[in-house]
Amino acid sequence: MRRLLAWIDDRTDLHGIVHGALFEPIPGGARWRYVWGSTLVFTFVVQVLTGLVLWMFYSPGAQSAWESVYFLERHIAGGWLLRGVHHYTAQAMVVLLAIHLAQVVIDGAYKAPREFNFWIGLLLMLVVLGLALTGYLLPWDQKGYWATKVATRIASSAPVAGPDMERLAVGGNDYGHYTLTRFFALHAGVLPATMVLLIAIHVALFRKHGVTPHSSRKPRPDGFFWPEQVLRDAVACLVIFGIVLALSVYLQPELGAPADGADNYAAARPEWYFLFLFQFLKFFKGHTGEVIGAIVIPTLILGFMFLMPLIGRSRLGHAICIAAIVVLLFGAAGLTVSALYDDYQARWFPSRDYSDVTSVLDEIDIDLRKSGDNSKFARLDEEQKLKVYFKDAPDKLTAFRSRLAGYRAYQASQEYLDAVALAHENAERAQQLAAQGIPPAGALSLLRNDPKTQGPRLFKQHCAACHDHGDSAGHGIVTPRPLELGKGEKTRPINPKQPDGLRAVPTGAPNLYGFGSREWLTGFLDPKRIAAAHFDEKTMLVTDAPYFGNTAHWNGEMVGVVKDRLADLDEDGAANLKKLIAALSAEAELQSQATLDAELDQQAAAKLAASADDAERRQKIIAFRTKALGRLECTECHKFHQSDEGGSAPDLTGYASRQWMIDFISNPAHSRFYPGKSNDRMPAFAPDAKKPDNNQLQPRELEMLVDWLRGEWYEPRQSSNPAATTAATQPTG
Amino acid sequence: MANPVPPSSPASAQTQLQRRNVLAAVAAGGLGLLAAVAGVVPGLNALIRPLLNEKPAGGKKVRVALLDAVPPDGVARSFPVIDERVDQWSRYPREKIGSVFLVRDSKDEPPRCFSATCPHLGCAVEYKPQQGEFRCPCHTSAFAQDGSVISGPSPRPLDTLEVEVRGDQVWVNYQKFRSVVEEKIPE
Repeated sequence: MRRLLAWIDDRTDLHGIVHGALFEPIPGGARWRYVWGSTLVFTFVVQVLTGLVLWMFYSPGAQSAWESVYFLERHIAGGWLLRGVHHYTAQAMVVLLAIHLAQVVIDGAYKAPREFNFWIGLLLMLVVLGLALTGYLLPWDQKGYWATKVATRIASSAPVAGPDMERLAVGGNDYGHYTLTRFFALHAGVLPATMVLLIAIHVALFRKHGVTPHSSRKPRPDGFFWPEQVLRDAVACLVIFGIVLALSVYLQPELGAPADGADNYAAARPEWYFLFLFQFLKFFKGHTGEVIGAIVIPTLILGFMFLMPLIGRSRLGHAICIAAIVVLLFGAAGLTVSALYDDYQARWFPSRDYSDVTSVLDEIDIDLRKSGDNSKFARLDEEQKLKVYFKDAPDKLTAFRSRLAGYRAYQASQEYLDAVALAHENAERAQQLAAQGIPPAGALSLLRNDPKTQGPRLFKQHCAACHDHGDSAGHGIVTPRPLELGKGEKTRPINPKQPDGLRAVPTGAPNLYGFGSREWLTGFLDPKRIAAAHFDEKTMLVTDAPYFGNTAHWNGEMVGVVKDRLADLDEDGAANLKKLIAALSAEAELQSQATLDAELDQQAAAKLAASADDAERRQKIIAFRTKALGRLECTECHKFHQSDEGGSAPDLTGYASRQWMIDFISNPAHSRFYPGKSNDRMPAFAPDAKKPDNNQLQPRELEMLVDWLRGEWYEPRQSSNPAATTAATQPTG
Repeated sequence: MANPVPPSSPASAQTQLQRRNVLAAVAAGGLGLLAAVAGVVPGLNALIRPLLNEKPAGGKKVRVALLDAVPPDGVARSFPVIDERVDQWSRYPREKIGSVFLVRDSKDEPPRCFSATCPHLGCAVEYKPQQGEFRCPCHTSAFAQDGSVISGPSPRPLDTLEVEVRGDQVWVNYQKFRSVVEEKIPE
């Protein structure tokens, strides 16, 4: 063995190299304060190792990047840990870098003869920040996508070559496949290679000059790198690794929803270590401001840092450098805290009271609703409204303005928090859907075809102006509608006891939560609730109008029938009503009522011979349901599974079923539903069946909207969502 | 270089040798450098293509909404822009590629259209009906009903897009403009 070593040593001087590396003398002996450089090398090595393995799982591409990261995290044992360690070590690197830099400046280690090493160190810092920036995009999730988009837009604002630089980085006009391939090549190839080269020079130069002894300390005997300093370095590295592991386990990095360039993503923020730059940019206005804030000032600061070794030659210069680095670090910390405060103040101070502001704004709104165009606030912007409001007390206006600004900032924070919550929801949903297997069109197509995700958006966009979708507790999409006063046939008296008093123009439509279910129908056929509406003259709002109360049907034929025939029912009548509701609701074929409906059908087909086929069975069921409707004379006006009779009222065949709802929304004025004037202002969303492009809603949008209204969407088995206890089929299309 | 001419004197031989060395050094330096960077050329040549390719300018006319879906109440509403999209080798079928705001002030006027892309750094602005303002969730730029800047870092008003009413349909010339500059430069 020894001879073998001697043989190798003879040809390679291995012993000399190892000896040289380990027995580097340290003037003043090993110290804990010397560990920072080593921890940075350590974190870089961790990044290279974890990064190489991540590479083996990663697939750059707009339909595969998110998907491959998702698969690694959820389906490869330990994948989440691998990603967690890479994620948090990157952040550790930024922190260690700041410490290392501050220490080098404060200890004067940047001064002659170590200038070159300081400059190399600054270059290394830039490379690390470049790695952080490029890495953030690679999972191709919403937050990385939008944050990076802002970063490249900033680059595009640079004078002269800005736009070209952006296009080079992005690989085209817009974000896409080539943005990922380019960022990935930078992140895993160009930048690490540069880093290795720079670290080699950095360490070699460091070895040449040695540590910078602290002059103010008590002299201690000199020591060697091995083993005292190595021991300290190893302990420090392992402590850092421990912290990284703990963070990875207890605070797993989130994979957001897949990137969607067409989405209004309102939770875009850079990673926390760039927040100070983000906050800094809020102070600069216009193009010149942007260039100054995002490019000139950072470049000047960096330029100053490069000059530090020359400035620091004198005592005063050194003091200036120390002051500068302290100001920079504290400034960055201050900006970070201020950015976080802007975003999280509504969470940190949930009980902050702005009722003084909202009461003024409410007063203005109420006056606008009351007087419309005759209001003194009509057609004014906010500033003008306030001037009018404070006409008699202009001194209060300034104070109010600053309160209002505070309130708006608080609101913005609330909106940001809501956007973050929505982003979490979408992220989780995307992973739920992806767990079923991702089609070649990518995970985004899953989300875009998901009724649970798209339903509320479509509803808010197209329906919420008139309809609510809220449960009995008022949760959901619920909008109080302005109380519009008016005269004429279609208006209704605000106070039923004063039919000649103030009258309101109906401005709403039924609440569609649970539409077609037994519960919904029970309320609809309740004489007390069918035309109920609450008119609040104080706030000039209409609330609690769950059915026809806030529509032109408030005193229509149906309301009349319900009020006449269904009030004060005897026991038989009540039983018949219950049967009618069960039978009609079964037409909806809601999956949430499948068991109840099946019981009813069992009852209907009870007397059928065992040999009867499906058609016979179906016939029996329809006859049973028709009988239930007939008992309360519904079929006098409504069609129900017959082609020629009835018809002055909407067809109840397949009432509230998926197809019925699609047909209704497509064209409510169709002869099957509310032909001509009997349709109360509901637009036809897809009247042109031949050319869907001409319609407001596309076929798939209609399906998703209806599926969402019916509470039918894919939900994994152990669902905690009570709204969808049914296991809907995977959406297609 | 067979049979070199014998040097006439040792001194001139010295000069000749020196001259030859200088030539060799220049040639070696130049060619060596060329060899060192030769591999970069085909790479860069491909990489800079996005700069040389011509950009399709002027935007594209897209049907955005039914006129009836834009009530003449002066309130901004967001409408999705649905069109084909191409990303290198991928051609995406018609799907949402962005959104715009439509506002109609009166029944006799065509709607006005604002791009939803913030002129500052490209985030998507939202409309706050309560305040009658557009707001950007990123750097808190705020825009008035007419698109002008109320506060925040935006360098210019919200970008208006050309609107054309064809029958009962609203068409919009959908295009993007360069960020962070005061002028509206099509991208």
